[in-house]
Amino acid sequence: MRAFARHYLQQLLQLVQTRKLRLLLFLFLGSCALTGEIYRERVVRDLPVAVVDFDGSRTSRTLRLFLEATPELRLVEGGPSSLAEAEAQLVDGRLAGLVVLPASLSTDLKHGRKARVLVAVDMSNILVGRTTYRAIAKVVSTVAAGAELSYLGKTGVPKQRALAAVFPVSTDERLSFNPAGSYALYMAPSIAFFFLNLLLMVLAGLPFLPPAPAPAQMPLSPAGLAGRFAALWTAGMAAGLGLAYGLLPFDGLTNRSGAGLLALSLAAFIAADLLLALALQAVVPSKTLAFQASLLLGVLSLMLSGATFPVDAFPAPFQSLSSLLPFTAFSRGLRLFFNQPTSIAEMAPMFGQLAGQAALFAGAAAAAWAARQGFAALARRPA
Amino acid sequence: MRARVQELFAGMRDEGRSLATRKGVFTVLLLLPVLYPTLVSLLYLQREAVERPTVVIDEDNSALSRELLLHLDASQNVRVVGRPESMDRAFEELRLGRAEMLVRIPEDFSRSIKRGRQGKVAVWVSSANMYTYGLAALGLSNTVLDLNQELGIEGLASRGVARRVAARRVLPIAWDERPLFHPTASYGDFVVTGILLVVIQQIVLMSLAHSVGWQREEDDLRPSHHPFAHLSGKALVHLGFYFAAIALIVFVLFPWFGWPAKSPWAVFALFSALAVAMIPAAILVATLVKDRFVAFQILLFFSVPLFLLSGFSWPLSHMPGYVQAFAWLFPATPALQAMRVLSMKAAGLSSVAHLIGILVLQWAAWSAVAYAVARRRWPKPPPEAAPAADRSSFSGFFDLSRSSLERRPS
Repeated sequence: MRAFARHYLQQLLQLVQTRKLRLLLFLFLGSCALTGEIYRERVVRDLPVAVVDFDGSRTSRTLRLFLEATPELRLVEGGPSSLAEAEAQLVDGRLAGLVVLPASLSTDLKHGRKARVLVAVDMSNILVGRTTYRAIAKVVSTVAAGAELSYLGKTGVPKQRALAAVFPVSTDERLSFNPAGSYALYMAPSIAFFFLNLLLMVLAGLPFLPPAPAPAQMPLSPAGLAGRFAALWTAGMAAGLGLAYGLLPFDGLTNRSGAGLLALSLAAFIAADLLLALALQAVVPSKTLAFQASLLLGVLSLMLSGATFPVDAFPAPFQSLSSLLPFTAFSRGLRLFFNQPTSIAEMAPMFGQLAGQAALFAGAAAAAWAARQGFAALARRPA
Repeated sequence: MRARVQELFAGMRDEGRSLATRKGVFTVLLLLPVLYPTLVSLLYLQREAVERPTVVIDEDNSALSRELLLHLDASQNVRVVGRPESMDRAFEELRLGRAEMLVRIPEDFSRSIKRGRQGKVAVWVSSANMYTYGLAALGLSNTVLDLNQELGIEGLASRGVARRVAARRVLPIAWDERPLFHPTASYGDFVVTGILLVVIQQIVLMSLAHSVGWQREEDDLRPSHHPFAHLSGKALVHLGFYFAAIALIVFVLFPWFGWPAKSPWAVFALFSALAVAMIPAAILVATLVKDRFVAFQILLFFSVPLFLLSGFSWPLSHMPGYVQAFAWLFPATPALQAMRVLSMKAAGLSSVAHLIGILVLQWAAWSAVAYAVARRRWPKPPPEAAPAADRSSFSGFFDLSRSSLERRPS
């Protein structure tokens, strides 16, 4: 117990007193703050779009008006004078989309023919491209529905029935877990806690790397090692809670599920993450290589977690690797409890997964340590 | 000037000696460029997430509701994975992440439509991941749009309008979609090229800092009056490895995994330009690091923020003004913007000339900073030993010292 307490305090002191670690903490906080600022606008809006209007009719003016009124889009004043100029503007990114209204637009409508408009979208950035396309498609289909409504009116369909005739099926869409469709809420907490994951992977190397007592020169007793990891866990908790209640609220990102659930989730995640690093240190023969492996896993963990690209789209071996990483379980849970009120019972699957991982890593570390002790005893035995 | 050139060669020689004795640097120079880009390429091999899991509750159970669900299931973006018996169970599926969309068709759905009223379908879509939300929601809206058109035609036909005419009268304005530069709009093609560029940036930063940090750890740093030239020499040795890594990425991994590049040579030139532009920053970091581990520990926190800052994924114009200004300090920003053009839009370097120009300016600015910091922080040789140290470092390499030049026959 004394060894545990001594090493716990030593590790905490090292964290506070070492300049390098203070710089690390500064970088961690700076990266988190910067991420919040990057997504400050939350949604994509005012994307530059040009209209080339060869028709100049009332319908084409209505289309322009509707496009202008869409929050996601901004009609570029003047616009390109030719299609070649429009293409050049799409290449250099001055335009996100182009709508070409043909000269026959209104004539086709009046003569009962299908009118066609051309919608060209710069899809090189899929976020910008898809948002632009969705917004333009919505405007065109709304104007088309208006044209259909007026036709139905002329055929004698009563006004109150006309809408149902144009849109017989309507959808009432509700967004769960991120009602405003905010990219800040989607990305910023996941990335901020990914930085915490990186910080933990770096800190977990401290008990093994110089200038700390390297096991080769000064083997740490199990109690000493536990003391050092308990200190790192404490530091991780402080960083995680500071992140959730200090930094993220600056950008309007607040935890909606109460401090208890957040603290419990963090406690489980940090413990499992540190045990993963410990297991790597125990299993991989070289301490430096183990440290580098844990950092590589740490860097890959954001991609592997499914926070950006869903896990089911990965090749099968990566899906298995993903399920072994504590950050995957935590980030999945985070997207639930951070964005809407959730009870501890509802988060049971996440806690179960983290507990399973922690047990697996602790078991692997203990087995590797026992095997090493056994080999050392064999080596010491006289021939 | 001659002293600086001599120091450059001394740096090269010093790095050659260091690489021969400290094999761990090869982990960064050889293993990382092979392992990391390959892993990333494998991860996004599928390129696009399809068939988002959806649960449905069909309280109507009519021919029309079944048709709607059949069409929904047949769309590329949606896959019906279950039909829970209650809304509570359905929400549970959403919460556990086993489903990303819940569609509920009320019991009066078909009856309402037959009586000329709207049939309302309630939908809950998980927007915790905006990418998968976009896919699932698009799948549903396309299905409903098609069904509405079909029902609209039938409605008009029932009033005596010929089907051919009715088809033209229903949603009478159609749009021809032209997704330019990236017709598949796949996530993998979009994101991987940028990540690979960031990998090269990290390798440049880490390899030099790792090598110098290791030398400092072992008290093996060569004092110099011209540290910037000395470190540039060390970086030049690494440059050969960077070019090899870039060639591997552009000429092997790009075609192998099918990542988009209009002209591989232009992409190679851009990667190389970034590697060269990053060298002054790498020299700056190498001047400051205390040991080899610091390089990993500190630089880890740069890759993701610089990627996000560059405007590659989230538009730069949507960031606050001071963040935009900050972003333009780093070579990753013009390089990643040029990468998007060269991978998808245009083949010639002329289309990104302005961005290459910014890279050159950044290279000059970072060089000035690195020069000033290195002069201040790098250990200086003792005054009396300085000339001897300079000369001794060249024995057996390019001997450009004054005495050797004086000895040459005219």
